[in-house]
Amino acid sequence: MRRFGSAEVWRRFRRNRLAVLGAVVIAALTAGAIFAPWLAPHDPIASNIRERLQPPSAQHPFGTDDLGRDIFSRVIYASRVSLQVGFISVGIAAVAGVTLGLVAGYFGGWIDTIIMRVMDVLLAFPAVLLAIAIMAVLGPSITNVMIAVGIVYIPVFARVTRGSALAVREQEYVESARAAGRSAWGTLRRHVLPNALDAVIVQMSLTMAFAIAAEAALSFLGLGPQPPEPTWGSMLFFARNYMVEAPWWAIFPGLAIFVTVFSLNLIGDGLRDALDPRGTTRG
Amino acid sequence: MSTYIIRRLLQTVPVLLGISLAVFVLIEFTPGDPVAAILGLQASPDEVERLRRAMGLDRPWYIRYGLWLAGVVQGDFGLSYQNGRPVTELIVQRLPATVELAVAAQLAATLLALPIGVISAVRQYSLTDYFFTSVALFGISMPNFWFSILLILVFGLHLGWLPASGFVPVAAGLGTHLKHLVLPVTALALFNVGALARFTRSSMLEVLSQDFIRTARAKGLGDRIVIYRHALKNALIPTLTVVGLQLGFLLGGSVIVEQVFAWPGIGWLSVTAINQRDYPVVQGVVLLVAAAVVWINVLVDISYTWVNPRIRYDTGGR
Repeated sequence: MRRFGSAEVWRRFRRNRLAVLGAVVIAALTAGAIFAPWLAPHDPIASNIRERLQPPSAQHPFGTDDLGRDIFSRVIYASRVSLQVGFISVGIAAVAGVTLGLVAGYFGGWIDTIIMRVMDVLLAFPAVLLAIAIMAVLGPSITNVMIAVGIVYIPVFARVTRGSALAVREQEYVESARAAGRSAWGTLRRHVLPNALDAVIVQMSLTMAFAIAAEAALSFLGLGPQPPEPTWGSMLFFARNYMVEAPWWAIFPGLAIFVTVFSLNLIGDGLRDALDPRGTTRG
Repeated sequence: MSTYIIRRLLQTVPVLLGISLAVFVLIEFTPGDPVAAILGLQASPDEVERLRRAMGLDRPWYIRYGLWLAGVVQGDFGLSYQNGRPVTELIVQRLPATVELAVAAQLAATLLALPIGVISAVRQYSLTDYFFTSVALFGISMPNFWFSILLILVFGLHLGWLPASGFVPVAAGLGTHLKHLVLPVTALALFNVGALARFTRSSMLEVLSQDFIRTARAKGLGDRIVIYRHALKNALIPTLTVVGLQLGFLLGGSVIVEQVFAWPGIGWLSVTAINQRDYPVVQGVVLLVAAAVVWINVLVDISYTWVNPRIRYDTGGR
């Protein structure tokens, strides 16, 4: 189905300016996370009560919090947690979910029933509530946030992939591939997986948004990495009590989450368009 | 068809059992002793032991699971550790607020998102498409707790147009009631509008590129008929799944928005209960919300057969 090599896909991706912008932002954020100790103008943890709750200034571009800590420096350090959690948890969810969805949709019968009923059990728990429950059992840490968020989003991938597999299962070319004696794995790989891939890629971009927001949500509820280590979510949690006196405190960490998620979505869209050449030729 | 519906409903029984077991076991492994939480640190070992026995916590977990399940089947979710009131009563009290919020948000999201998605797809690469696509992208990129905070900052505190938080019963005046609903519904709906519009657009584009659409066009059928009769129906299949999933998530997933806006629903109830180690309440809420999601999924599956008769369930695995 897909006759375009990866060079072709890359060329299409580069033509999409917004997608490239997203990639540049994520690259910059990643670099910022890696080189945080050199980039942050202040110590993200050391408090300085004399400078508490200061509005943005040349010395503190994002202002300071109730302990006089530099919010700009804290936002930079917090990106380390968010980016890690986003990438790893989506990886966990996608690999597990796509495999399960393909197998369920293609084989049908009791295999489908068992897989999808287990997915139904997982899916039946509201995402944030399930993540909270898993975190309550595992205890608060970055690794546990990744595991919790990863598990939560497996069923979404399984259902979307199964939907696509189900749709092509009834198509003539899959029936003929099967009739021609192609093995199940061969048919899945050549005919079913490519058809599901676009949906999965769109879903990955969406899920990355979920995952980073979910991490922030857990931190926002006090279940992420513990203070004083800053995360975007936990900064918002403390900022809530100072919304009138220090609105900047709530604005900048949230803006960081928004920019990250927005950029990831731009990349996701760019990838989708690059992978779907039919879309670019249609008027 | 009716055989399928009955079988699909029967299939939910093991799922619901699985959920109840998962809920019970998960809580069982949660560190933290509810007895210690109730009595505090000064309690003597004797007191602790007595209360443990009174609460039935000295029995093995599978016995307690069996007893709990037997009660649940009869609508009895046990008593709250915190205030001794029936869990069922606590949930019934909080449920309407959550359902109202979730249904209003999903309704608003669906009504906005479907037209946005379809129009974007039909006019791909037009200015309208770029505008709608950007709006949708904005929606899914906005974390709802930050959006909630911004809404409160701007419309509640700065402009003072709407109440910053809280809940007012309908009895106290429909106008005030609805005013309190606006900000939380907006906060909850924004993400779903974006996600659903994007999903509708991409599945619509996918369908529009397929051979049968070209055939329909080649036959000389009008654009309107091709788009609404042929394409939309097929594009609706994956979209329906997403609408169902979203509503399910909203029913229990409004945890954060409920908390930020002090909305007295079951999301808020469950977070409070988790913090207080009030296990019977946590189990009751989570089980109930999970069951609701399962039934919504069944409805979605059943509606598949109506939207696309080509997906036949009666032949099993073929």
